[in-house]
Amino acid sequence: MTAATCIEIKNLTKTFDNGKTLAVDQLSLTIAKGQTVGLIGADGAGKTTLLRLVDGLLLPDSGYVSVCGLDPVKDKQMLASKTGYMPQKFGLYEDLTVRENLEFYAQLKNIDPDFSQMLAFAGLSNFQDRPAGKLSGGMKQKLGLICALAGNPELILLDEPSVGVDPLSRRELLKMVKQAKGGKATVLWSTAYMDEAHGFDIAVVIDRGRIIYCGKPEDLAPDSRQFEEKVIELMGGYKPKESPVAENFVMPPVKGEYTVEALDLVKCYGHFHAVKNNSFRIRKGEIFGLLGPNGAGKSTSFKMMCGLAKPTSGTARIMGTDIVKNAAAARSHLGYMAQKFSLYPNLSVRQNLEFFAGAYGLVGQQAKEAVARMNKIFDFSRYLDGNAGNLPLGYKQRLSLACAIMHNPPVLFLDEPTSGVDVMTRREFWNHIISLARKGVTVLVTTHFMDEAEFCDRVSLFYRGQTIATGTPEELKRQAAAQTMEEAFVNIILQQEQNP
Amino acid sequence: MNMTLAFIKKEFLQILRDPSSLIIAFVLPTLLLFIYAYGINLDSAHIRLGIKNDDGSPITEELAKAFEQNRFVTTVRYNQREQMYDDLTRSKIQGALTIPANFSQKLAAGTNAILQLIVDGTNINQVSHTQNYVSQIAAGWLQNSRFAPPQNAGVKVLPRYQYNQNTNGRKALVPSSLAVTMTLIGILLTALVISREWERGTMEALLAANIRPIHIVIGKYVPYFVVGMLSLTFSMLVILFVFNLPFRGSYPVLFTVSALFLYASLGIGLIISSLLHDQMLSSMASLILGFLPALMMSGVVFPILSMPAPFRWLTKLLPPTHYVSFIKNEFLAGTVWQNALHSSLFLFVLGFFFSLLVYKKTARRLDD
Amino acid sequence: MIKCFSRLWALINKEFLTILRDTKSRIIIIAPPLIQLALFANILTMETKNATLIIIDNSQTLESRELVAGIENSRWFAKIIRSDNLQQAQRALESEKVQGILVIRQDFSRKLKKGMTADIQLILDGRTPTTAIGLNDYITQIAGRFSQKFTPRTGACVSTLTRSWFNPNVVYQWYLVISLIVILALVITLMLTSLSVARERELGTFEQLIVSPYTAFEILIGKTVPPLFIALILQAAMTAAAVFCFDIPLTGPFVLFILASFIALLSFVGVGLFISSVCDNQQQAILGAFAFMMPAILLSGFVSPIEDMPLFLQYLTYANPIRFFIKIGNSLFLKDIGLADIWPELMPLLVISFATLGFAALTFKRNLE
Repeated sequence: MTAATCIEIKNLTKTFDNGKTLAVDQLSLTIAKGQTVGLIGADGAGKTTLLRLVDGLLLPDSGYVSVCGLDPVKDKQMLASKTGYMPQKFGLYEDLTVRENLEFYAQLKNIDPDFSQMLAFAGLSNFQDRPAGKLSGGMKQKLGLICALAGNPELILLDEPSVGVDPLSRRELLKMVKQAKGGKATVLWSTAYMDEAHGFDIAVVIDRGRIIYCGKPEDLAPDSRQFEEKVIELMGGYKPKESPVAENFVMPPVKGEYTVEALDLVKCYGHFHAVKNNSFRIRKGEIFGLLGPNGAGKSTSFKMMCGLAKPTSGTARIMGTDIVKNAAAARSHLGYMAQKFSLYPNLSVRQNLEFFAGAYGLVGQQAKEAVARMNKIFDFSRYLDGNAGNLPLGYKQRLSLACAIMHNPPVLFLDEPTSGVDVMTRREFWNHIISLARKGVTVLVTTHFMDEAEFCDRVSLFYRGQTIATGTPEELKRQAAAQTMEEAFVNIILQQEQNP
Repeated sequence: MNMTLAFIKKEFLQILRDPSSLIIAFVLPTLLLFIYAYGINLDSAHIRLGIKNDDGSPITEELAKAFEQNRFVTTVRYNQREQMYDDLTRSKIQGALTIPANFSQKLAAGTNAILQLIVDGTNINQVSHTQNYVSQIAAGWLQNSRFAPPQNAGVKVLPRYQYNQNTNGRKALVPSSLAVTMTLIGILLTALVISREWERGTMEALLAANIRPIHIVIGKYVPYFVVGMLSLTFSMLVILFVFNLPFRGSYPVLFTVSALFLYASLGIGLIISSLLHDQMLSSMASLILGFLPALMMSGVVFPILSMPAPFRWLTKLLPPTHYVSFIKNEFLAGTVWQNALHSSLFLFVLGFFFSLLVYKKTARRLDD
Repeated sequence: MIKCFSRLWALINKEFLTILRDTKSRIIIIAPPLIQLALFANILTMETKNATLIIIDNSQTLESRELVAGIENSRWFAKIIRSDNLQQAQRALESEKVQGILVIRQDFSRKLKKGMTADIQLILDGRTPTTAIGLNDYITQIAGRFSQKFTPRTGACVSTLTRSWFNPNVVYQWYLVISLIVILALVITLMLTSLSVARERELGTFEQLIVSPYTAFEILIGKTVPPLFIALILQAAMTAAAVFCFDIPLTGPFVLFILASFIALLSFVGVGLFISSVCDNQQQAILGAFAFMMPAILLSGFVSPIEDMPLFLQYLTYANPIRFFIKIGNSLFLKDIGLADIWPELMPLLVISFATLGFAALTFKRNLE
């Protein structure tokens, strides 16, 4: 180990369930000081386990780890003062305010930084007295990040910090990390965004606990699009095929042209207008994308659409049934995938599937077949009898999607379905979604992956509680004079900010 | 030090944000004090007594009147036996008293006149009261009647109830309730807090930060210790100024022993929560290990003395048993130094042992 | 119809799986009530036992020795200590080593022989009123027998012949076991139900349930049946223990006992779900359950009769399901009575069940906000 090395790992192995599950397999890796390293891999490949091993949160079965010249097992305390670690489910105390959370984590590190400056850095100055539980997803991640960055650590370990974060906020997160410690910190960042990984110094691709690529991203591909293809190739390659979900799908007869209608939806909390006025109509078989920064009111609109929140005024209709007047009937046409993982964490994957099959009235053989089909399509066999709560993030999303579509609903509401899902699986997800739409399923989807927006038939851009642009992806790009959807998104929002 | 303070501050903020913990610390104890003061009565009881007078003579009517006039007895007169027995079966009366037809005859003849009493054996708390009232009232009536027997040589017991002359149950019960509420704060509230950190995922961030187990341990002990002591002070004020119970002990001793009791209880709560990372299981465990023993086995209601021998010793291993005995002394007898020192030593050793265990069991890693 | 039933079954099955998901959970739900029933039933009593008495016999005559012998032969005391040092005895009483001091005065025999009443002084520990009153009863009985023997009564007297119905030997354990069954059933039912909705709210799964085609009524049934079923099984196990281990007769009609248990447990489930449905998170639900449980047990008539409570507390107990169930349990176990006789207790339980379950179902619908 030389002075310029920050992390050195040799033949590291970690298993769970008494050796039954192999998470990290004879892994060796060396990371030089000051480098920003992207950690990419399929869901359940061992990214989180690796990060936890590096930070000394787990004991390795065998192998050698040295971090900043310290042994994470023996010198955990000393190491803790040199690292900043941001877990996937960041430990914010939801009942404490933004500032209280920040102060707490700073004091734990025994430092007394300039809090106002840090809050300003994260753009949270105006929210410092708000309970952390009431922040939008992007703000929570930013708060988590500044908590992890407090004390200028030498090594920053970030476990999918950009999951569920909009493109604008994602750029800010990246900027914050880059500026940390004057750009001299070593960063280990696991991500599902290929454009992010492509921008890093080193990309490490992990598959089933082993490293299958480690080197400069540019060496693999010149731009992020091609980089994505290459990574997929490394992970075994993706061949588009007929979606087995759609294959078995039987579309019930639908009356009328528009299957989903939002009619002047308004939601106020006190004086605050979470949703000012939202109207759209989606045709049968159309994929309608709802884009917008965190906190714009997408989730609130979503909740009103499926009857979880009562609109202050206006209403929505699903297959012609009014959601306010007859929620149960309207919802019976619906498959819903919530943003936050909301399946039963203490039940096994199989039990969750069986429950949702039963909940939507699938009986006996029908239910058995549906569960078996979902198991095959989403490749749950490895996890089938384990608790759903212990699944890797990507598998949780698969399970949520499986539960939402297994009863063949003619309308699908998907709230950030691909957040935290690996590149390959994202393609599969979209293959399912598109195939289903071809069969006539109406899809309302939100996403923070702007490349995914291109798959939508129509996109609505939502900002500060109202729609600021609607159209096909092509129309929006033209309107914003942009090459990509991401550029279009950023441009339109910046435009809106300049001329409100 | 700084970190510990930060941790303590965080816990306090969380306690203040969640009204449910304050309800447990201040509202529930007050409610319990009222219940123990007014709702539970172990020494006197009102009974409803059915009387059927088969004799019917003026003498026996006088006896019936004696029952009617007693302030602990409400009488119901019956003419039909079936009616009276029916009401006894339906629990409308607790005792059925029959004055037999030959009652006045026997009295006049100077022999033993027998009253027939049937009590409702399902209502066991009132059986002996009913029995005692009937024989006492009858004896008292006889003494003042013209059949009063001549004064005979005999032994009379003069009881003196040391420390509590009126055997006022309230005086013994109300202070004991402190043991129950402090157990709730010590065990239940703390059992929830660490489990919650695991369930909500904040534990991972804590472990990743430069925080030593000792900080977590102190950080969890101190805030709930303070809440417990505040709750004690509050309850003491209620007892002294609302119930006006006299306090014969010493305040420094009271607070010292209470602190040691709380220390031991917090230890139990924290052990539960560091072993079970699930709020449902840890609340079950604190119910089984804390709440039910404190209520049933600490001598608040059921006398420990009457338990079979091995269990009597077992109760001595429970912190609330020591505290119940101590707190009763402080209120009724004044500090009994020998017992207080003995209990303090035990509580301290137990508490210290628990805190070592808590320290050892506090997770250092995710797979601990 | 089949479809509706199978959907309901899916929900019920899911609840069962959540409650009884692994061996640890199963043990922690099933074992403690049974163990505690066995433990408490065998050790708790209101009777005075194992007491130690110091006797200071200042008379030291034939008569006083006979009285002392009467006490020693009574088997009501664990130990009798003879002493002549009152101060030492007082210290022993203070430190709770003994429970009473009996002082026989010097003039004991002299007074008796003169045909007068001889007082004996009994110093008792008022800090433990139950024990003290019990001891006073014992000594009074012994003294009465002594007097009777010393001077056989002449002239008229009144004696009371007491019979205890339904529990002829006045076995405290019968009452205790029946009441404990009710209390433990409440404790376990509340723990099972108070968390069920609050936990789903905290996890976000409740939204998923609402989005599914389940109606509020179906969710209510799904939340009610599993804990009710588990509580009924436990209740059956504890009742079997009462009949076969503690030899308590089950006198009342068995079918009525089952019906009453069902309704009572339904009301417990209702209270638990009610608490759960007004709480945002598990911590609140648990603390809420405890805040209900403590007063409910104390004000159930179990430790002290309801008739002795102040009026406002008596009214409060009308909302307390254990009060009615303890009453019904004792009646149906020991008395041969019918539905009409327990109706006054059964009706309030029905009212509590409907009110709490109805309210819970309403909040399932209102969860929209």
